Amino acid sequence: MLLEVKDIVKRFYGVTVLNKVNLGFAGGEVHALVGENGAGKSTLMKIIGGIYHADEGSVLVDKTAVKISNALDAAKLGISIVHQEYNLVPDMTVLENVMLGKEMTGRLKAIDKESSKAYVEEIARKDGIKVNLDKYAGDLSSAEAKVAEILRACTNSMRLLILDEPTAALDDDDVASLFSLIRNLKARNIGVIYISHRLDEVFHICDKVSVLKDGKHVGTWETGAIDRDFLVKAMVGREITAVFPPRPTTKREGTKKILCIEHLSDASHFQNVSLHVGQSEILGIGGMSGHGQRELLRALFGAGKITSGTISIEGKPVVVKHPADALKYGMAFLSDDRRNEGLAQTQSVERNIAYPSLNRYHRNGMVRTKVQHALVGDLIDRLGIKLASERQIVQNLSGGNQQRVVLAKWLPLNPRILLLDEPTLGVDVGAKVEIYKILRDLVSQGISIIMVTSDMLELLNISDRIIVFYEGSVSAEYPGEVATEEIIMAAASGKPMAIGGMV
Amino acid sequence: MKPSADTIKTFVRDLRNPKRHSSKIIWVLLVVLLIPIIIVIPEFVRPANIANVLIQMAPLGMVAIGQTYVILGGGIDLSVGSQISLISLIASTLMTDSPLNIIAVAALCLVCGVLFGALNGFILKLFPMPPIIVTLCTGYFFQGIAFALHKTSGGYIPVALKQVLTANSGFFSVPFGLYVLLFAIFAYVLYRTRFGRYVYALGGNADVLEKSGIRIDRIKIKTYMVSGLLCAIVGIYLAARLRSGSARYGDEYTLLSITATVVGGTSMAGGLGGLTGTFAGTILISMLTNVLNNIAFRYNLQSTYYKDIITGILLISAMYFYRNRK
Repeated sequence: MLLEVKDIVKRFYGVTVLNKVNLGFAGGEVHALVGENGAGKSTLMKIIGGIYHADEGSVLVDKTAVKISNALDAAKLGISIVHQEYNLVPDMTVLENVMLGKEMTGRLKAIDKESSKAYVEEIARKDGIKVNLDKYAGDLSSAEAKVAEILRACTNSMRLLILDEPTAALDDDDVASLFSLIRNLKARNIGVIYISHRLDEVFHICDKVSVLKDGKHVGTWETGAIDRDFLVKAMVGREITAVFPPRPTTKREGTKKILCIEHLSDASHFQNVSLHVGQSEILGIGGMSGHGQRELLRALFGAGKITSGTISIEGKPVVVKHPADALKYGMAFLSDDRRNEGLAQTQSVERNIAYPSLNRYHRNGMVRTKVQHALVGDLIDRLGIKLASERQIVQNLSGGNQQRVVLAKWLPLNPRILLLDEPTLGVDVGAKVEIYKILRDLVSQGISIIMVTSDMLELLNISDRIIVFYEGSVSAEYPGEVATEEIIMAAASGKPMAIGGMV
Repeated sequence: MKPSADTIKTFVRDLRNPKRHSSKIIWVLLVVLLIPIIIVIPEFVRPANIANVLIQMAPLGMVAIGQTYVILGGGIDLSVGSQISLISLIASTLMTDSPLNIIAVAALCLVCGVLFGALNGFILKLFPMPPIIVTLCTGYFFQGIAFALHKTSGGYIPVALKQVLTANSGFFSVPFGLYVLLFAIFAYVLYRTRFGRYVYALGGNADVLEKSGIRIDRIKIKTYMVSGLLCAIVGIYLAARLRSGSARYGDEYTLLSITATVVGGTSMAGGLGGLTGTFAGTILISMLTNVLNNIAFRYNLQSTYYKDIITGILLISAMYFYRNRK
């Protein structure tokens, strides 16, 4: 085995993200690592790459335990990672980027550009890598940037290459050339760890596949020996606990549409999205994170720029260019970045709740504190926020209580549409139950909810209707009652299944 | 050779949409400005005046070299003015007429300059905070020490040192010669050596540099040390020129050096720009200063106020102009 990990345990703030993981990767083999968001794939790769350190367990290279404390140690052992995010210096050329940290110098310590270029060109030729070395990294397309990063890895006499979601931003042609590059590397006996959400790619290019789930290793199989359905089951199969309130039994057929959007696009994250939400309906938007759902929600609230398409509320077309417009039309937004966008961290609960509605409770610019106080007290009771006092500073509250404060601040405005981005992010299970109850309660009062979530169980059990995003577009739509994890996963990887005539 | 229509077109397009490390626009601006200046103030192009401008630009040019290193590395050094002042006072406090003493004190000043820069860098390493705050504070710290050394300008600088450091004949002068020499050395280091490459990478994407196995803290500290060294040279020069030290001598150089750097096309975010642009920025500021002095002399005005106004406008316009580059 080229690289093995033995009994790796990693905890963040008491939460176990990797639990006794054992895996082995061989040279000349493309080994896929799959699992849902938060399964621990990236954490494991960062441990191998020396960015994180395991709490327990060991990493073995050629059967000897090694200590990898930083990226340089990893590079010395021949381990290179191409991260999902952009990792080049934009205002330097590809050549300068590739040679960064190992520049060749000649007389008077001057950098020898000619020899560096000849050296890199030789390596590029050997591995069949085509990239313009004189271009500035900032001018490269996503595909070229990935290739440049792989080229940089190749100059480190690499033995194991880790590719984290390399095709996330690539089109089909680019993927094909990436695959031929991977085959070249494989032929040179280099090991490749391939992390991807796209299962068809896994079957196309990989020899082996390992599944991680909730920080545990589920199993490793030869890709030839299993099929797609088997793999999806291995990735998701788990029990659904009774944390979710029951859906209302009354039929919602024929209820009026509150918000309609048609052919909505922004500059780069989503294209041609059409959807609607009815009165008293929870519309869940699922899909792998980073496929445009988040940006759509922000654009609806006026926090992102729309380039084309229309939004209408109760049949009337509206233009939302700023959150102030969105508030005017009765929309409220719960950000996934609660710390920065949801709450004024160092202010009291009372003030946080009062901010959006200050306009309504003042006399000639003076805040009517008594009215405000009564209102805030009422909301705290209604949402069951647990506090020592209304004057308590928000940042000392638990995640669940903080989220309730964010909800509470919007309610005095009587919103008709709630836009929720990851409503239970960083909230423990007990508080999740409470938040779900509140959401159901709000809906029964006539509010409509659009909820973007990467929590599969939440999506399946809270939504009345589910829309799945894939690469910035709606990939499929299902009624909440019939959708299953397998169906959602399939749609989220771009291969929606038809169920009962519905896609 | 007559340039074809195409080359002109690309040239104009590049000017409107400046690319990467190009400093073309500022050179064009210099030439364009020169025309009205020559028309309004023909004295400007008299050889004696040109020689004067070259001497005047030397200290600013040297400080701006260090400032460019720091800004390219993603930082900023607001303490340069105070460092210069403090060095001028250290020199004027310790110097005597003995040649050995002059050399020893000058060497001590250079070491102090490097140490001041290192102090900035180490504070940033130990307590990661915005460099704009850290260097603002160390600036007050240096200036405080300077005032403690001498409340007004004072001390003693031997006349021999003044004679050596301000010697000139025709277009050649020691300060400008020294500036050209330092510029050549630091341009070589920035454009041709690994350290220079790392300064760019530090400002461009420090994460990538660190993952390439480079200790980024060391690179960062070194950029501030370069700045400190150049401040020390300027401090000694100003002290020699005026034959005294003062806690205020360096004041104007902080904003002027940043302006020269930014007008020259170096991005405040780091990683983009270079010393050739700063060279042009220095010429521009020195030229405008000289013209203002000429006008002020002619109409009996107080030129320093107008200079401050123009510097402020120049800095904001340059930052606005370059904001969308890339």
